[in-house]
Amino acid sequence: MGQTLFDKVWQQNIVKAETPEQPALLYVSLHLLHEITAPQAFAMLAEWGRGVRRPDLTVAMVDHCAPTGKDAAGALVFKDEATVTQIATLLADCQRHQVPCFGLDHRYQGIVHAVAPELGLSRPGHVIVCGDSHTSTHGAFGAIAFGIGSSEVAEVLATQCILQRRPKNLRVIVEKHLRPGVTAKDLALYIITKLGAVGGKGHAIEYQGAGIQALSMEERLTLCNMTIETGARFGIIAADATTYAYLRQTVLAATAVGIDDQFQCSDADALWDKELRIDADLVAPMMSWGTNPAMSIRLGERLPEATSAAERHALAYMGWASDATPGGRPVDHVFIGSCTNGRISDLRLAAQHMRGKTVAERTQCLVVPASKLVKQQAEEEGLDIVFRQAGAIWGEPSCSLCNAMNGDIIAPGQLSVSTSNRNFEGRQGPGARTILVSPASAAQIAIRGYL
Amino acid sequence: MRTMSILTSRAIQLPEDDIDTDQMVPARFLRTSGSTGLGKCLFYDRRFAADGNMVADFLLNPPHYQGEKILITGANFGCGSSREHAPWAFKDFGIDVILAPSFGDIFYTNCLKNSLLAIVVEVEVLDVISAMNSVITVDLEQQSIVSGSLRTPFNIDPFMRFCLLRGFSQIDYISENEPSITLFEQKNDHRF
Repeated sequence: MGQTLFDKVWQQNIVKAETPEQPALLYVSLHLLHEITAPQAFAMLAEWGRGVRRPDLTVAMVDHCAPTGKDAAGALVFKDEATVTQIATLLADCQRHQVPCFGLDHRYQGIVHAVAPELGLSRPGHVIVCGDSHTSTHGAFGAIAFGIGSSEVAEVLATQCILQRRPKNLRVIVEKHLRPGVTAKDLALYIITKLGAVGGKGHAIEYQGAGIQALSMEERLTLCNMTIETGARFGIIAADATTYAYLRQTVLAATAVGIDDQFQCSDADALWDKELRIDADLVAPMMSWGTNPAMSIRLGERLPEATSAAERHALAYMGWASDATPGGRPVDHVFIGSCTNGRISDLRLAAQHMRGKTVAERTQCLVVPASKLVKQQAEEEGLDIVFRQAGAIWGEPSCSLCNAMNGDIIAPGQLSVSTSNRNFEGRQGPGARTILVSPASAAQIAIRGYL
Repeated sequence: MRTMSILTSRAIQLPEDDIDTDQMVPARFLRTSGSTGLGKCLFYDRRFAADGNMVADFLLNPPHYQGEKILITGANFGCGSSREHAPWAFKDFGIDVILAPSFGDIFYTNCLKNSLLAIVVEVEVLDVISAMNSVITVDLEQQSIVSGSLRTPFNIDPFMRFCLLRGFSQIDYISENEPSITLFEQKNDHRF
């Protein structure tokens, strides 16, 4: 019987096989750290009297708390002392253990899930972990990539290994191609509505088909990034010519080992525990209406009739009027950025819709590149000028309004249209109302000022 | 890891599906480098109004909550972010066992790593236990939940059960495999 791609990569990275009594022990090829979930792990390490086994396979950076704004003198504006301490703690821990760390003044600083791919750290066949649920992003390279807790971060720091039970296999086959103007974000939201918020639980999701092969590497990253919103910790796409072409233009390509093309994929007779088949040409621009990404509809569509207490609660939380049509509702904030949609292709797309136009008077628009390299590239292309001339704020690389930890926050009751990944209650601030869309839709809405 | 085997308590109920970890510990409370004292942040934006006053009808506030150590809740509990601050907050608040029809995968692992016993219970059984509203005994050794005359078995990964019962440290277990880890490294040249 054939094997799935996920199971093949799993097999290749086993230190000790799984039994009914014990989970498998997997070797980690890349461990990413950030300032929110790593300090506690370093504290556990100290408690155990252990060091970092493979600092050369570990990379840390500051992202969640990184400030977006600068003051008149050009200095970064930190939210508070706690933020400064948290960042300093990561830098000190990394220095003590000789782990490379991209602090705020480093040219490679940015969001872990943007930086590792663009540097060429995320590679086919690897096992990649990080104390962050959106680590599923890196599966776009044909890797096993998943989010872990701080206790597991500590275990990986000490041993470079992680205990795991092998998940079940789910495949999403995407036939045909996305229509012009429809993005990977729309595809991701569409798939999440089909699978539901728990449809992927306990599974690794492999995306296959012509619609996936046609996606750029950055679009694949967006799709795998959002996989966690189905409950699946893993998204994976077989590496192909697109993958290797991307890897060859990354920062580390020249020094990279293991970028010999390995066109590893699932066998035709592999067994799948679950399957979803969709036609990409049926996907339209999407928007979320509720309080999880599975609560999404086509832009312009009427709101659904609530069929459960949760849906009624979500409609009320979001403050929808009773006429059930989202169109015309004023928008207070637009956020373009995050590990989902803060890459250069996302900013180019947003700029295309904002060039020569002005953000609506009632709307504030914040554009935050996902990394320093993205920022640099965008500025070389003059995209920052496009955004600024339109009246948007051009920020420093950070998770920013995706999780509202760095001081960027949406006030209670305000409506925020966002290219990030989660529209949970309070995610962008207590009482904030979040609508998830693509960068193209976000830019159009910023100009219009209403849905 | 702390040992645990048997616990008897009444349960507090929070009958909602899809409660995410952002609700459990809002992100602004993650600006800490520690893992202690997070109980006061648990469900902060639901426990407290914007003016800082307690929300009287929220079920984890008194008079509804009276020190119960077991939480009964809805499906997909703990979906979303990987923050281990969520189980740290529950433990600090005083919750030792969570019964739900399903859990977010990362949250579930994080709970067991912290001796917070997350147990998957079929929704029909959970409804009955909730309705009985009596003292519940959760026995990890026997893998059973007893509520009044109802006794229901539960499943748990035998490895995690072993670790919890013995207070067995997983870092020690992984480290016992040192020869295999070194062998793997010799065969696989991982470097950047």
